[in-house]
Amino acid sequence: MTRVEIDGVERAYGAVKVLKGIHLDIEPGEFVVLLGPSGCGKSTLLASIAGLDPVQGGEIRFDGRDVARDEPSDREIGMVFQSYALYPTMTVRKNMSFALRVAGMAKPEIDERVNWAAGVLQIEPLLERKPAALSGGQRQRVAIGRALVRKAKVFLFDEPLSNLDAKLRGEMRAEIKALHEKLQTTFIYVTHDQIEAMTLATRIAVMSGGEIQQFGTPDEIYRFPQTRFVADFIGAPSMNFVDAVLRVEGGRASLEMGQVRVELDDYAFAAPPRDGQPVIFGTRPERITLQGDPSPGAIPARVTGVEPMGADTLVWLDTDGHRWSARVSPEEANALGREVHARPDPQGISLFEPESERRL
Amino acid sequence: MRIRPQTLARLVLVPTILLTVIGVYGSILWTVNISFTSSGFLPTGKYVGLDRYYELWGQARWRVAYTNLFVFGGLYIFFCIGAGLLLAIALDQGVRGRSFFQTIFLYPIALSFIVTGLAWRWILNPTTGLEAYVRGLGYEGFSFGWLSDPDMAIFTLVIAGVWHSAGLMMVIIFAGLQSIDGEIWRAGRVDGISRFHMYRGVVLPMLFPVFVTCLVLLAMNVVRSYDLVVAMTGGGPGYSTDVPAKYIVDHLFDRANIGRASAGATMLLLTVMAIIALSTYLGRKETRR
Amino acid sequence: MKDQNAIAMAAIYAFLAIAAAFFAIPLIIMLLTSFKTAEEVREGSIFFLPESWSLAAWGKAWGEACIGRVCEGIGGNFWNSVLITVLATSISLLLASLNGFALAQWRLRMSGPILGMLLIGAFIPYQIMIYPLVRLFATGGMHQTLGAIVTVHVLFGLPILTLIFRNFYIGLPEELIKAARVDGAGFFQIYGMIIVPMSVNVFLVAAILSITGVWNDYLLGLIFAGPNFQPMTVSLQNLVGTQMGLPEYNVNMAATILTALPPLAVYLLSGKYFVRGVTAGAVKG
Repeated sequence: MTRVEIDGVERAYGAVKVLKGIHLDIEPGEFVVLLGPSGCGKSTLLASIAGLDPVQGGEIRFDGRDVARDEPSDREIGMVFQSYALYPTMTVRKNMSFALRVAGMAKPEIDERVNWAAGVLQIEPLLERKPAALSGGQRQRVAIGRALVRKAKVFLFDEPLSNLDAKLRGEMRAEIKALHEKLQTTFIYVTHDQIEAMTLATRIAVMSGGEIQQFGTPDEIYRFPQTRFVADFIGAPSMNFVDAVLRVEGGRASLEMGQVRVELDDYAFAAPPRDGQPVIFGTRPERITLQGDPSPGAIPARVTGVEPMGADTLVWLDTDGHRWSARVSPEEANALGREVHARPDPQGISLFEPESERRL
Repeated sequence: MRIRPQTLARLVLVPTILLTVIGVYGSILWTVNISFTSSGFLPTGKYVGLDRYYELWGQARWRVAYTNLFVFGGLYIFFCIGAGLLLAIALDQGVRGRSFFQTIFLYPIALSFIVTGLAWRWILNPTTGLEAYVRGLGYEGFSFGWLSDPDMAIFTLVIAGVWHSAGLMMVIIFAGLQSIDGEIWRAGRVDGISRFHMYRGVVLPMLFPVFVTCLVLLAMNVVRSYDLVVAMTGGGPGYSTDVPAKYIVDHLFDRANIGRASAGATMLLLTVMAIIALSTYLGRKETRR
Repeated sequence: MKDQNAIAMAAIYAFLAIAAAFFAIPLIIMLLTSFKTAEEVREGSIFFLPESWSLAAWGKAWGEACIGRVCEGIGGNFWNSVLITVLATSISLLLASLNGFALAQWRLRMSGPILGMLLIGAFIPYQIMIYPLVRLFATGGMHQTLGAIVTVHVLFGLPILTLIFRNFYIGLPEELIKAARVDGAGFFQIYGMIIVPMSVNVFLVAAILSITGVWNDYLLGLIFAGPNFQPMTVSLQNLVGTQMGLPEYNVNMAATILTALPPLAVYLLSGKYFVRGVTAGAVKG
């Protein structure tokens, strides 16, 4: 188990800064997912950790030792690539033993390790086949096995499931999670798929524009997004937003949106709220209840579309020019008229400062 | 300390770069430089400006050689591409035995120009070859003595050259025809357009870049043509089939006139640069369309 | 409509048959002539079959034919050509594949200009460079040695061969190299254990191109090989060009076919690889 500390890592391609001084402190044995849209720098960060992309500033420490200028092979890492990158001319066994053979390990030990990894991944019957004769899922397993035999201190995954079909992806996801639980090694995993991130990670680092927006458990990321970007990026459909003004009267804070007032008694402010302060109000679709009749704290809205998803139904709303969505039960959705009132759950509110877009 | 792989990647390029910079670019500069000197047997002459070029162009042999470059080159390129195109289109009609025909059309490209030249010299030899055969058949008046006719000998080079290279053009153009999407042919049939018009109006314009490639490939053969001339006519009769490449080699090694040979070589270099410029222009024009 | 099609197809076959005759006849005539006796060649037509198939001309061409005053045939030059071709091809392939790998997969800043420099050089006719190269070799005491002729073949063969390898390697996924680096393999280990096994076909294509190119060369052999390593094409031309007395056409043709045989064999045996080799030059980037 290895602690990975990323300390001020910088990388630029010409004038374009891809990593703007990244700080990340990964505990031993954690499963950290780097999540973000394409071009956010997550793959570059992973390549920097692997040593495949030279960093221009900062340190990368494995258990306190700076490896930022070491060759990839000196970092004791295992890496699984999106395209699997299996060596096409070698059998599965040769693929898995390649690193050990290069390192000059004795044959009995190589065999022992390959057999062990093949056992863990249940690919013993495939050992003498060439990659071309394997299915996508099997190739994925071999790619993981190649990292496994090296008994690496840190496992790196670069979007490993994106070439698989939906069903297989679900299965492999569960297997990778089980593997982590079994090995207890530090895993760093890059993806743009939030479901993968949510299900796998002990902690998620959401990245955007070469910076870490938030580093926290899946629950924290989902329920308490620290920036508007995170709130918007996580969740499908994404969080509903509207501009509002804070009111503080007699020590009680509330939110004013036109005619509507929402009490904020339960909101944990990061800094004391000021009266008249403009804010961005956000709430998730499943934190909205829809009613036919007006009531205090409910926002009038018009129904623009209904999408039954099976377990629940997504209702698209127009709230004074904003496009909102609400997730309700199919029964509730059937009972709705054209004009409704959307009541946000006070427990599920996020407020952001309009300028910095940071959480209040 | 271990050497980083990126460093090794740079290091393996060093021999090639050194070889090319010295062997190719250094040699070119050296030759261009010598072309401005009075060098004869040894490259030690004084600078004489453009004198060697005046001398060169004042000489009938060089003018014939340089003209031949275009006479031979123009006909060779025209017939190679023409024959290659016709053969490729014929093979594209779903004929049987395609690979058999292709094997026969293409094999000359595996032979050297020396072999090509000697073979055709034997066939076109008036006393023993084709002429003798046809006369033997009873056509006593038949005459095919191009090889020994100063006005016609250049055309024997064209025949041999086309025989050697037309197959390659066929293969390249055929690959181009095959790469055209079958849907275009189906669209043409739906629109009721004849195969002839499909080729002329749609398919051949699409192959424009392929023709540029063919042109460049053949033009390089023309500029380099030395072996074929040596084997077939030796530049004769007289110097009627001389070409710049042969002129240069003769003046370098047999006539020991390095300065003039270098001037000729520099002219050839300028010609090549013009060809490169032309093909780049044609390539650009294509992408802009 | 049916009839029209049939007529058109018949015309196409007729055209192809005539073309095939045009291409095939020179080789057939060479073969026929080489099997005739000297007497028959003088008297009969080139199109007649030999009365008695004789291998005498072949034997003479290989071991006894006179070039000037030396009557040793061109068999010895065959082995010179083999030696030059094998050496030049192996060195070129090694260098070109390493170059192609380095240029394609290592994100070197100068890879574009280096490739451009190589390829532009490949367009320049040899005549412009041979004399300075002769001087250079003479200065180094290498003039007209095996080293000199092999070096010039490597020099002039490298650009196109490098391009062939580079174009193949640029299509390989970058992640393959990354995976190998994570696995601890260095530059030459990746090259030898992963890249070379993957590019056997490309080596074949490049080898065909190099072998036919080097074997068929005349000019470089004439100038750089010298008397001790004179290749077959040069001796063939000398044999035909400098005969004293009556020309022995049957011997000439046997010698010509002997010279043409190795590349012809490569052509017939390698099939589609040969086509890929000769057209590889056509698909410049």
